[in-house]
Amino acid sequence: MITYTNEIYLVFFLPLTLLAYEICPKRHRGKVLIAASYVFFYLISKWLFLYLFGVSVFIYLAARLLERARRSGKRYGKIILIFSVLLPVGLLLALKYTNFIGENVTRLGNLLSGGTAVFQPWSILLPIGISFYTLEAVGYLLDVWWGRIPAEKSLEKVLLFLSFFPKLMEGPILRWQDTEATLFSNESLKLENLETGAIRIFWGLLKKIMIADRLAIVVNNLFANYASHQGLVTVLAAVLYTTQLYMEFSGVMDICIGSAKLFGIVLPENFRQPFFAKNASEFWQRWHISLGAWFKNYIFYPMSTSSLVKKWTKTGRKKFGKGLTRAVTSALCLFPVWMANGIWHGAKWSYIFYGLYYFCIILFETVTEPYWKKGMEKLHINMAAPWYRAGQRVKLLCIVFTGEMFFRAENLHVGVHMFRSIFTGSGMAELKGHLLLNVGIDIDDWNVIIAGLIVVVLYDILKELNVFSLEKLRAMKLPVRWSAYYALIFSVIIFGAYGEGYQAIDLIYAGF
Amino acid sequence: MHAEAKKHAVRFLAFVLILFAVLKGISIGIDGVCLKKKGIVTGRLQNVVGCMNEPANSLDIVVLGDSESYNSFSPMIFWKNNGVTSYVMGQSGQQITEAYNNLSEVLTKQNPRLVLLETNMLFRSPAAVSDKANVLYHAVNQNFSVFRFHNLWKRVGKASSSVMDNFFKGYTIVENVNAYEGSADYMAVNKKDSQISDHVRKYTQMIADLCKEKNIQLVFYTAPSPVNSCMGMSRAVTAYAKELGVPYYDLNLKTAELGINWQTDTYDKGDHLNASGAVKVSQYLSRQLAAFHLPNHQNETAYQSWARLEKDYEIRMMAVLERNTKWQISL
Repeated sequence: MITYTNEIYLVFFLPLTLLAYEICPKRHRGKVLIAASYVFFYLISKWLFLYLFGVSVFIYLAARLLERARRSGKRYGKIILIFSVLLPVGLLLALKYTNFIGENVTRLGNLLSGGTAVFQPWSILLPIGISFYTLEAVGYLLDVWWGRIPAEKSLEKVLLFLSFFPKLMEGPILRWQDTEATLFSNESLKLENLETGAIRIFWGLLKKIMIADRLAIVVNNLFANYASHQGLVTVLAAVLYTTQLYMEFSGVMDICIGSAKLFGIVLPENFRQPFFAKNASEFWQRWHISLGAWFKNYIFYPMSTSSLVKKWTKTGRKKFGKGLTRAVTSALCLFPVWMANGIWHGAKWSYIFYGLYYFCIILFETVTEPYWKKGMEKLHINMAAPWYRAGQRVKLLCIVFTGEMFFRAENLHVGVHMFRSIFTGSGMAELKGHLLLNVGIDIDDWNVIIAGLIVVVLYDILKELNVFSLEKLRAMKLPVRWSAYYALIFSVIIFGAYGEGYQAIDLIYAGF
Repeated sequence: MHAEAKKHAVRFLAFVLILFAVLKGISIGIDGVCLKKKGIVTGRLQNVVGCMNEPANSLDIVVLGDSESYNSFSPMIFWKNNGVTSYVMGQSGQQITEAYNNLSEVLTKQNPRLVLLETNMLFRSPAAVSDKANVLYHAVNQNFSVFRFHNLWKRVGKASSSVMDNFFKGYTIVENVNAYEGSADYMAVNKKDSQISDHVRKYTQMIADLCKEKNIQLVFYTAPSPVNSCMGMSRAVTAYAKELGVPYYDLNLKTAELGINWQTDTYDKGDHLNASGAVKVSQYLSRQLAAFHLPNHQNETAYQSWARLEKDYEIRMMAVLERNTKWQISL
């Protein structure tokens, strides 16, 4: 199967697409990208590409109708909007959640009636990337309805917007207005773009196949044997999974953004040094940015300005005071966002728990923030002091590691078991017994992971301080630049976990 | 062309050329120095590298195939019985494209009289796109060893692998026993698709053509395996071998003659043979392949290392036999 990190994509698909794109006349380059995207889709999901095509045509027509209705002030516009949003969302829910709902309804029935019915799951084929392009499609429709963008007259552009192969499997989730400038420009290949794109791809490969794919072996082992681990080992499992997820997801995003850049297309960033955030709310502005932005634009803001919330704010302040009103308003706006976040990740209770976990934490942070600040001021504690900031980051890391542990656990029951096991033993005996050398990788692999992590963490620090970035590397002198490029390329070739002795690791977010 | 653009193009070319030159340089270093060191390559490539490291034109038989090949064919028995030199180039899950590429590579150095192909891999076919990618992948691998052997850095400065103590020209003695409890009449059941795909046919034909060109006899054989074999597959290979004019030995149909006992001769419930099964298969094949009048090198001084290795093999097998008293084999 084709995937962003294998040779089929990197050595075969991408160069051929670049070649076809360049030799094609400018006006047909969009068609080349659409054809390549559908070939990419076909290689993964076979004939399910017809689903994407059908949804794209539907969205194109619905947007045209919506715009007409909005301009003429017709009342049926809302009906079209509801139908056109519900159709792709309904299909997504039906394809992803039918078995989950069936299983839980059966369980509930058994609980109420004392029966022992067993739900037989249906074999449902899920088109690749459905969770990503459904959100893009809905966002596009809502933006057209709200008059933020005009409905696109060219079907070709809508097809490309929803299918563009570098973002098809894992995002980033595009907004029409943020990408149209470069996505449809069909500009010729430029050496500058090729250089920037290629280096970004290698940077992503370093994170994915040098670090994340090695960590995946360890994480799979630790989570598969969760029942025999306690204390520090369970904590380590959570820390390593979070590291694996960050290295993998951000690495694949680098490859996707780099791939698009080769064609001169700028995709939005999906990560911005998330572990430098001060709190959970800021973390989600830096982690999976495009998903957070989608929820903010299409759920949080509409909820904040809804008549229900406005009404509550007005009456609440009079009757219950500022503090409680603020808390309820925040809850009303945040709950659908985090519930949707959990559900979006998949049909598992642990994902729903994950969403609600962040709902509780962010609500708590939002509600207590003014009181906390006042308290700190009264105690004369400098919130900008390095020790205070360090404390904030430690707290955030604990929150993130715990959340990811539940997220990765086989189910909610396992997640709870693992959380409890942190406090039921130290795990020191296991660690002293060389556990880490018996989890599928050897000492050399650990050395590569540690060296790779040092490089990535240093890079993130320098980027956060705005001192250095891959983009800035381009402005440096040739010997420095080339040395860095060669070092990166050879690191990936020599230390990558690929080929003999390693198994290809599936992309985590492609499963969502 | 604009001067600036020209400058950039030249720089880009220079960058790529330097990259290729360094990759090629490292690859030459790996091929010329590292791979010559005994035991440095372990795992799936061990047999391929081992075969490539044999002295030029010293092998009479080269064996291709997946794990069924290196668990059923013991070169030391051929040496002992017939003075014939053989090497198992099989790899776990070997694809027909890999078999072709490995054979092409080894034939640049060896001139064997026989190429023995274990047929289980004839029923393993990748998707068309993987096939194309595989072709490219192998082309890159063969010219740039740095990709295929990129993991060699792990072995730099380390002692030769102890794996080599139990490595006999591509064969490793496996003494574990995990009995097959299914029906002895497993060939009567049709278990999997018995079609040989066009992709496999294409590459098998290329192997046959290569052998013909080099005047090498290609021979098919199927190792006994209740898990992997059935009559449908046997018929498919028989017809295909006939079409190619290749002799074929389906040893699943000869288990009684071989004396295969599924209680003692498999280490993983009938998927693969253990050392006991391999001895039986190798004894049988060594008798059958005598018909091809292969040369006997036992008295040639250039082959004394084979005699020494055969001694090691026997000592090790004797120890194995002492531990496995139920095995009914003679060395």
